[in-house]
Amino acid sequence: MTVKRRLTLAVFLSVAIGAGLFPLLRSQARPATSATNVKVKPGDVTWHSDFAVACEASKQSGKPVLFFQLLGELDDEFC
Amino acid sequence: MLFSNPTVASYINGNFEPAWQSVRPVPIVNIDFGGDASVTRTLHGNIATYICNAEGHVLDILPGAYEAHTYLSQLKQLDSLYREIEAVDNPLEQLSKYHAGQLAVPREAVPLRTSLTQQQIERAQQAVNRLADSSKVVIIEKPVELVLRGEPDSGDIEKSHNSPDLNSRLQASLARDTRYNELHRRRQIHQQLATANWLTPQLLTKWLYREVLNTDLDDPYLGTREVLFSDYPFADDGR
Repeated sequence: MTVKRRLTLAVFLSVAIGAGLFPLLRSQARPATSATNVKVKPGDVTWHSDFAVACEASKQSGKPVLFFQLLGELDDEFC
Repeated sequence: MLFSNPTVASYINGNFEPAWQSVRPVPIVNIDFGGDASVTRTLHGNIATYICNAEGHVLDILPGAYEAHTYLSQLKQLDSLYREIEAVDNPLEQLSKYHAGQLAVPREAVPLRTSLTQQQIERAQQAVNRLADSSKVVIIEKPVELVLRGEPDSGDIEKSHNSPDLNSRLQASLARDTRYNELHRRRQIHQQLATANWLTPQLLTKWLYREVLNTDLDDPYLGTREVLFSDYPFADDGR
C-alpha cells in the first residue's frame, strides 16, 4: 500500500468515526476502569499521625515506638 | 488484618506508641470482564515493624508478615529489650550485644509457637529451604512476580489434602512466612544492627526492602520488569 493510499484511508476512518458512521466501534470503546480503593479503619490500634509524633509520645510515656511500614496505605481497603 | 486482632491491638495500644508509614503505593490488579463484572486484587505489599526508642533509634525489626501469636510474642520480647536498654549506661553497646547474641543462636533452636502440626511445619520448612536456595526473588506474601507468572504459591502446603479449606491454607502460608522471617530475614537484621551505630527507620528503609524483603523501592516495577516484558511483543511500545 502506498503512502498516499494509507493517508487517504486514515483520513477517511477518522472522519467516519468522528461522524458516527461506525457506531458499533464507538460503543465498544469503553473507558478504562480504575481500582476503587475505599478508606477503611486501620485495625483497632490507636495510631499516631506519624513517626515523629510517636517519638514525642514515647518521651512522655516511656513506652517504645512501634513503627509499621508497608506498601500502600494501611487505611485503604487494598493494601 | 493483624491489627484487627483484639489481643494484638490491645497489647500494642497498652505498651507501645504506634505509627505507620507507606513506603510507596501497592501494586493493584484490576481485571475488567466487561459489563459490571470486575475483580480487584492487591498483590500483597511487603511489611516491616520497627521497634524504636524515643529518639527514633531502631532497636530491632520484625520483617514481613507474622502469625498473630508469634507477632505478639516477639513484641513482648522487644518490649523487654527496650526496658533493658533504657536501664543501662551504654545502650548502644547493650544493643550490639543483644544482636550478636541472637546471631549466635543456632537457627534450629529458634523457638516458634504455632498451631500447625509437626508434619505441616516440616513441609513449610522444606518450602523455606527451597526458597532460600533460589537466586530469584523470594516467595513471601505471594509477591508480584509469582502472581504475574501464575505460579502456585510455594507448592506443597497449598496442595496438601490435609488443609483443604482456604483458611487452613492461609494459616499454613502465614506460618511458612513467619518461620522464614525468623530463620532467615531476621538474621540479616541482627547482622546489620549488631555492627552499626544508631540507625533510624529512614536510614534503613531502602536497605531493608531491597536486601531483606527483596523489593527494590527504586524500581518502579519492583523487580518484576523481566517477567512483565520478557515475552510481550509490544514491550517497547508500552514503556
